Amino acid sequence: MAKQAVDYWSPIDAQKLTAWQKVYIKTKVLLRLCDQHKLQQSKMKSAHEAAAKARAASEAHAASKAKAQANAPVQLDPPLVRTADGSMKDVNECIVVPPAACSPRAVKKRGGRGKKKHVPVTEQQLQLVINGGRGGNGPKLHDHGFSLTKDGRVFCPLCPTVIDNVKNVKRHTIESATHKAAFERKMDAAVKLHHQSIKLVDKKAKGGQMSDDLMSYRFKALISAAKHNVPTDAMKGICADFVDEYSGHTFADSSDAVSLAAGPLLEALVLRIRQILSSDGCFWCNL
Amino acid sequence: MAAFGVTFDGTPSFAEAEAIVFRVVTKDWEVIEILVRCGLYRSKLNSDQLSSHIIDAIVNRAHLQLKNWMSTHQDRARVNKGALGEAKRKFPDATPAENYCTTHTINNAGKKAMGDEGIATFAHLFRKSWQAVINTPGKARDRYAEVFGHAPTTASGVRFFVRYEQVSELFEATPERIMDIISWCVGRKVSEVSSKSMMLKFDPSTDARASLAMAIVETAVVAEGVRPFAEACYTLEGDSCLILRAISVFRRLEQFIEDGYSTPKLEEAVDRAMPLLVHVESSYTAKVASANAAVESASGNVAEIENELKRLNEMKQQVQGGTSSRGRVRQSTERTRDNNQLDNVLEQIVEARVREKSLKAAVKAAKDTLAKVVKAYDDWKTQYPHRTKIELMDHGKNILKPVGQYYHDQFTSEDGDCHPMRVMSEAAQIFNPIFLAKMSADADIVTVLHYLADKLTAFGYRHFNDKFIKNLKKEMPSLVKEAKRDHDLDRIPSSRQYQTRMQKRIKRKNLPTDSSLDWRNDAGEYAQRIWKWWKPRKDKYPCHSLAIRLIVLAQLSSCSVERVFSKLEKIRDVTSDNLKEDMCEIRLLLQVNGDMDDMYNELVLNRVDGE
Repeated sequence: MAKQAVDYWSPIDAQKLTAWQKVYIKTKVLLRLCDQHKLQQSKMKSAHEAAAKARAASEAHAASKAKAQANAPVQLDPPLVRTADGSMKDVNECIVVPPAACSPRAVKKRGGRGKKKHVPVTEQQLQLVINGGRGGNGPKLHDHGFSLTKDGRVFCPLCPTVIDNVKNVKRHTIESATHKAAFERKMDAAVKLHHQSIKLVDKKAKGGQMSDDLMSYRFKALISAAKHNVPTDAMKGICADFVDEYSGHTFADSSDAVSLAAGPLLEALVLRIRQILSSDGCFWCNL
Repeated sequence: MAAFGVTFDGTPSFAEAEAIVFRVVTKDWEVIEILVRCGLYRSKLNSDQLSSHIIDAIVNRAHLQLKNWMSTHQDRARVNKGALGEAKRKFPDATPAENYCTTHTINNAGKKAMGDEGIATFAHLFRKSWQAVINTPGKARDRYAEVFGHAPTTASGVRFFVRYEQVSELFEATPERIMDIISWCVGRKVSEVSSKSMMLKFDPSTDARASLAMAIVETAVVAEGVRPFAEACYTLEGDSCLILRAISVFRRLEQFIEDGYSTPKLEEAVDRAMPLLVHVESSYTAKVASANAAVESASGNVAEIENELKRLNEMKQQVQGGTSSRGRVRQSTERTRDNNQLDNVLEQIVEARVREKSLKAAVKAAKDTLAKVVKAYDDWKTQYPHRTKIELMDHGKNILKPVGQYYHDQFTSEDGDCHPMRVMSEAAQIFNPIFLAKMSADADIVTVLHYLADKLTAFGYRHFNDKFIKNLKKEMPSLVKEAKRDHDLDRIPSSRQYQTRMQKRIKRKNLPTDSSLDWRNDAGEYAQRIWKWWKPRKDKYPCHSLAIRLIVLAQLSSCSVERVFSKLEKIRDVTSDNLKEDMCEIRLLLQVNGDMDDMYNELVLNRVDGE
């Protein structure tokens, strides 16, 4: 299957592909292989085998469910706490958790804007620069992730910098050391993720667990991207690909796809932390 | 429920973030640290909000009981102290021992030598100017890398020891390095804008060479005298069971202070600085002497012209002739007057008076110049009060005294915030098998070990009560026998972290690749081996095994949280302003904790299977 994965994009001249394109291709490969595997299995297996497998699967499911129940955290509801007056209360009645900063962003904005009157940059102007200028002979800037802000400025997500004049976009990619360093890091991360996806294909192929459900794939992609500190835009793309493909949803904004996956993943991570900390494996001091 | 320690801190540098790391010991005797929460907030939290943030993480997120909250580790910020007070007031079950981060405190001690409140002002100024030179990539950095073979260390942020490293690097090879840097600036091998500050304050062709001389001396003192503090800080920033071995770090520092801050290269630096100072001082004395000479010369001219005037006046009297008086009328005797001669004399008098006036003005100007030069000299002497070799040596020693004093106030004085940590480290010696093996007789057990066991109360755990310590003391004789029988920590294999550390150290010091460094000099590895020594003996000495597992929950620094902020900054670099709270937390949890599969399998699944 790993060979298949390589064959998938080998007809295309790999030299011409950017690292991000390879990553996207790899994610597609995962999906396609998954589908193929399912199809092959359904064709090859006889009804008897399928029934046996279903029985085995149900047993395995029951066993895993029992195991999960056994492994469940000792206390699923937050424990009651003793307050200063000696009574036991729900902790949420006693504390006021400060409001977290979700979108709009809590992070401090960098820099300020000049007082000079700004002429808004249009989408066409930006696309012209990104596509290599007039005649398309200049460098292509697709991988740099430049985008337009609402007030008609060009935003560079790598640095991050806001560029008022579209003419400075090309200069920014060449002259800004910060941008160059960030771009290299992004490419490194892309390559890592690319290798990760190859490994994932191998692993899945060897383990014979190609029929993982959507959630698992989505999490794997998100986990891999988060671990390697992949930029936001790339992460949105990865999630949107999976979600669009399987759920039939078409998101107007690909960040919605991240939101869809991020919540359950965070919950899963927190649950895992809770299970570890309250597990029997930790040192309890009951003196 | 698991006993746990909590490390928390916040950062205002790029976002208002608060992170909480839990420290627990597993039943397999592994010490693990897990990032439980990192929240981004719109504004800085006050103590009430911070206490809610901590309690929420413990109770709501981790589902742990407040009574098992054994210790906390944080820096000495007022809001942290307030938050803990608030949590304890609201929830009586929460009785954690408050441990203040020793590395932050030692870091603050270092600031007493060089920094805004430090004595080494010239070294501080020189470092800032140097930072301006190399702050941005350009000719200066390229030139430095070309000459010295590596890129210069840049220092930013609030940590003192980052700045110390920069000073240390400047001085590491030789004071020549400083002169090289200056000569680059003079030779315009770096950009004019970058080197402007350096040239203004340390140009060796002007009187600023005195500043350069002082910078050389102070840099030498800071580089050598603060080094033990920097080493202690880096050692204590580990996340192993350092409490078991921290006393050696503290004692090394105290020994350094007691020995009078050994700085062997200070004299060499003073010898290097003296000619520069002497040059400036001699130029001032020469200026004063020349101004004095000018005043004397002008005064002499005035005296001459005054004598001349006197002579001319007498001559005028003679030429004018005598006078006779009759009653009230006084008449000149016209017979003797020569009018032509009188006119000549009068002309000479007028000329002389004009010359006298100009000469007096010259005297005044010379005196003013003298006063200015003397004032400048006095000002210079005030600015550079240490001009002789002895004075410079004394100044060098004085730079380090506030550092030692601050350390004393915080660690060895009973009122110090970090004093309990030192006592705790001292008490933790009772778990060191090598220390135990040195107990020669029963008397030693009573006088030394029992005394240290009593100090365990400094941990502030409710478990360490009189009854427990009594039982602990009962185990001591047999434990000493066991330690005498087997206290060979060499046999214990070195940890993976130590091996990595050694490889890096060997590479940094350019040692042969097959060279091995003594693990006894590495506090982290030493502590880890003590911890491993105890693992097979946990059932034999139940009180000791319980105590050691509780004391390793105490951590000497809040570095685990600082590492989280480093990761957060990298995430921030990648995501820029598109940082949502949930994805930010996912990224942090995954990058700091990993996916926790191994931990989960080992602690949760395998344990259930095993049972």
